Amino acid sequence: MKQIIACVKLVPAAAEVALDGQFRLKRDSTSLQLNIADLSAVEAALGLKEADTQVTVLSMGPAKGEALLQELFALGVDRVVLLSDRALAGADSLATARALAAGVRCLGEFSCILCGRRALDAETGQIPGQLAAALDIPAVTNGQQLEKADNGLSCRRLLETAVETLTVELPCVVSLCEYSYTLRLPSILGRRRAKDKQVEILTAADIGLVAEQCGLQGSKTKVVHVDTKAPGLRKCSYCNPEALCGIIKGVQ
Amino acid sequence: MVSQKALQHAEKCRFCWMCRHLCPVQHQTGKELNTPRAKGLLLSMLSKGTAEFDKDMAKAMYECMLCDACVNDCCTGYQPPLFIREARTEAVVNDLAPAAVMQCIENIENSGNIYGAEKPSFGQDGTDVLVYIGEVAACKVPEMAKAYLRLLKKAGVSAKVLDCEPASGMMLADLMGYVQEVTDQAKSCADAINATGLPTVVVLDSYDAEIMKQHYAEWGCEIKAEVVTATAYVAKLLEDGKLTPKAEAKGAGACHDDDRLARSFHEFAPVRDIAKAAGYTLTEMFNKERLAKSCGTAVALSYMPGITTKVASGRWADLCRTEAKAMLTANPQAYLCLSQCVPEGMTLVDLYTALNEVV
Amino acid sequence: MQEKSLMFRMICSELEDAVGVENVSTGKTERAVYSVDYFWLSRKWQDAGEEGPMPEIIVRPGSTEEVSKVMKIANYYKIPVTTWGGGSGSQGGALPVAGGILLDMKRMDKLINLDVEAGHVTCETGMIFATLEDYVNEKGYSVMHLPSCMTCCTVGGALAHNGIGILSTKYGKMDDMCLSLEVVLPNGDIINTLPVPKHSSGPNLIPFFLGSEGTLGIMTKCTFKIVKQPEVRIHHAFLFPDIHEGYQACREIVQAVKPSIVRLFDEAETVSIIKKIIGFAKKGSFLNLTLEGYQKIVDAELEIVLEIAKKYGAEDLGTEYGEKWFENRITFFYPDHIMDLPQMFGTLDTVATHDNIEKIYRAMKSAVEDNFSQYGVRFISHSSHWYDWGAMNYSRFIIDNPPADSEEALRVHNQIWNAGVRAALANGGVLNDHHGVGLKLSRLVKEQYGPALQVLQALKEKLDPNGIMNPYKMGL
Repeated sequence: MKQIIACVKLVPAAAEVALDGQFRLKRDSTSLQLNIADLSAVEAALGLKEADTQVTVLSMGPAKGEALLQELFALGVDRVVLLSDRALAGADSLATARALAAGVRCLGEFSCILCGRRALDAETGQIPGQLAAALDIPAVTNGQQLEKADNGLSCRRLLETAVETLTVELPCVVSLCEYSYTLRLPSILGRRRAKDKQVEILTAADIGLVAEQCGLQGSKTKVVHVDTKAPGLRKCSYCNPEALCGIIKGVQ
Repeated sequence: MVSQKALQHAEKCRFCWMCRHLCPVQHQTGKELNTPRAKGLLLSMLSKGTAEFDKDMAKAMYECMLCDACVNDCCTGYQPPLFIREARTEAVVNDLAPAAVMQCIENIENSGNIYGAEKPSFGQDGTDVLVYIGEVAACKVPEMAKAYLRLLKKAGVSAKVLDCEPASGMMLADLMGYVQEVTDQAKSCADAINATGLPTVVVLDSYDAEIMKQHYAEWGCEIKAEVVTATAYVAKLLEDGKLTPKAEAKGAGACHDDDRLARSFHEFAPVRDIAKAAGYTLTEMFNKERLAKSCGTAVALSYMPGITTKVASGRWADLCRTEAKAMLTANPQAYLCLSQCVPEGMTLVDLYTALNEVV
Repeated sequence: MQEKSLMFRMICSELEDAVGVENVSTGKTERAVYSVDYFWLSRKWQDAGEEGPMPEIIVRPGSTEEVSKVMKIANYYKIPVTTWGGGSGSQGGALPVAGGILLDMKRMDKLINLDVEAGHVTCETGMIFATLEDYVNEKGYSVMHLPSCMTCCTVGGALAHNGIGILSTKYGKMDDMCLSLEVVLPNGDIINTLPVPKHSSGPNLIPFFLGSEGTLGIMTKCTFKIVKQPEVRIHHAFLFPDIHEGYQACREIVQAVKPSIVRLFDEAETVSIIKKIIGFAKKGSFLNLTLEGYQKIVDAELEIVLEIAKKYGAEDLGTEYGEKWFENRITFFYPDHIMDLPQMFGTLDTVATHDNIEKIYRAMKSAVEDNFSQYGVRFISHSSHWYDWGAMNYSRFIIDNPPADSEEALRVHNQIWNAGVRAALANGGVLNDHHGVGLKLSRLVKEQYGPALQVLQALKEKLDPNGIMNPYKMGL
């Protein structure tokens, strides 16, 4: 395999995240982490890597994610490309897939694209399918284990009540389940090599998109309202057994 | 540069001193540099370009026992050892680690253990349990390992010890942080243990037990057998009546809770049960159990003998303020460190040897 | 001085001879650690990527004699000396703003004598205060100095700022606990204060050094009184209709009995606490009060407290809050639990007689809120240390989004402090209650003392003629 692309998303690491006036996540105020399922995608890509394979990580998001993405070089990732542009912000899944597909086209010939099956923050799970459609290649979703097979990949995938194994021709998109692979730790050698590598940052224009095709403008869906569920405000208090009868009577 | 996660922890610790009174190294060196706060502050300065990661900074990152006392007492969840370990990775990556540290790493690369020595064979090929001896007991405190194996024999337990026992990765992790080189060691170790097919592995050194029980699974190299600390295993043999000690009064002693039993396993009763069975009247040091002060580690003793011995003497000072005359330990690393500076009139007791004398 | 210069190295070698080679450092890494203490501005400086004030030489003495040797060397070469204990002061008192020698005292941590029968303990001043308390606790006693910085500060740091702990209303502050001191004078002479603090044998010497913030000498040993741990410690919470009633009730309580903790909160700070206790917001002034000692005495004291509280219209909130608060009393000071950058904040604590303290509260509140509303400043206050003659206010300002530029932030920060402190001074208060003057308030010392400052200046000129001791601090 010449090139394996792993798509990753940086999601807020905080337990609570704020929304802005247009119900978009406020990504500037919180620290970031790699989306859990995407860790599997990166590890699977590194696992499939052969001597002449290039593993490329592709991501889209604010430029402050660069430092976190930089850490991937130490694991053996060869190239990291971050699509970052105000114009790309606020994209729904369709506009995101369109941007990623445009990004992929700039990366040259590839054998497969691996990604997490869904992101922790928005949880749409639509990107793998939409990306494959945009590139007109097959998609296998909910993957748990990947192996090289004749002409392609053998992939074990999770169904609702069963597990199936199928093969898919290259090039293809495979999405992976959370925790299906454990992302390796960096090695000393890897960290040494990573020192002179840099994340490449591409803008919408760099990948040949105009404003109408991306971000909020290029999105077909719009969040019009968000309801937050207030946690149960039960008024608990301690009381002794004698007082309990009185309280119960009061409720009756 | 350390990872974003490590930096986040460092930034939270840089202006906070709340754990400094628990840091055994800061107590003994009296250096502001040897506080979790100072090390976090330096990494923060590094990220802002106001400090440089040079040999001095690297050395500072090694002046820490990774004993977790700071983490244990903190109500935030931020962990100085996390960024200190990563800073050590950075030191090794950039060839800035102290020469003594590099020598330790070289020994591990060449011989499989920090002492650059061959581990002795214990000639045990039993069928009930596997005993993981670890390099400190094997190379530095073999009497403790032998006493332990004798105890098992007396209890009718047929024990196996691996010939050419692979390192657990515990020492390398202290020297260069959690990196692939460590997980490679861990994988070989787990493979060797799993190959025996024995249902239980009794781990003599709680520092090895910690990495096996609390990290192996996360690194994808789970041990199939049940991992049990040596202390808990012998305490159970005593409880089940498999070992029946003769009553023999040995005077007052205080148990030292080693870093891992104290703060990773919160295991306090077994070592005290063993001490009582061995005939000691227990008294307690003020800083005990989860708050027990570290007496140093074997790895730190290898690359930093001066400071580590001072740290051990700090623990002896705790004992000297009690009425006990005996420091009781069942951990080979604690035994090794404490043996460097036994104060006059005090004795250091290896609890397995002591128990052996009465069963 | 040039770091590589011949003379610099000559001085370093002389210092190494005095304290040992391993106890002198000039490396940048180690020096950088002393450029930040708990002072908000030093933190802001670091956070903004600016280099803070650093010493040129770090010296770690191991004994009084070594301190004396260092002082002689420093005086001969006229090198500034800044003493550093825990570095946990909030006033910038330990920042080595004049460069020179930084004396890190933490190697001097020996316990010298613990006599539970006579009721005193003597230790070196580089000991972490929590360690001293541990040693005394081991025997069932306590120094009863429990500040929130107890785990961070050294004994010397507490003495140098005349610190105070949460139990002060019963047991007093540092100057009530300290029986005698050993001090190294700037010229290197080692002196002792008289064996006891109360006598008619000439002026007591302790107050000259206690609270002098390293400007007049270096305290190297201290003897504290210790007391037996109390038989009982009980907590009781109340809600007063407003802070005025609260002040009146607390005054009457401390004039009648001896509680260990009296924490009275203003309406603004009460809102957040009261919601946690009773589950909904309620206006008023919250009081948490603690009594301790022998059960019999505590029972009698509680009866009096309840009577007074009732007289001032207090709602009785029981004992649960106080117990939880006491257990978690330092949790508040950990990261994510306390104010932190980018917020700007400060504690404008002051102390005054009962007739002035409420006036000061109102004057300071309006000085801060009225003049700095454009920054969205918040002002909260509680009074947590009481005397039969008066009380202190622990008033804090908080700005959530202060100017990001460090110079502009410094300007606003100092303007708020000037306004707040002047409001206190104008109404019978002082610069500070228990955090000290340090660098933060140094410029205001002249305003506070007026012509009385010449007493301190005379002392300074005589004891430290070369002006090398902690320069630019405390207005000296």
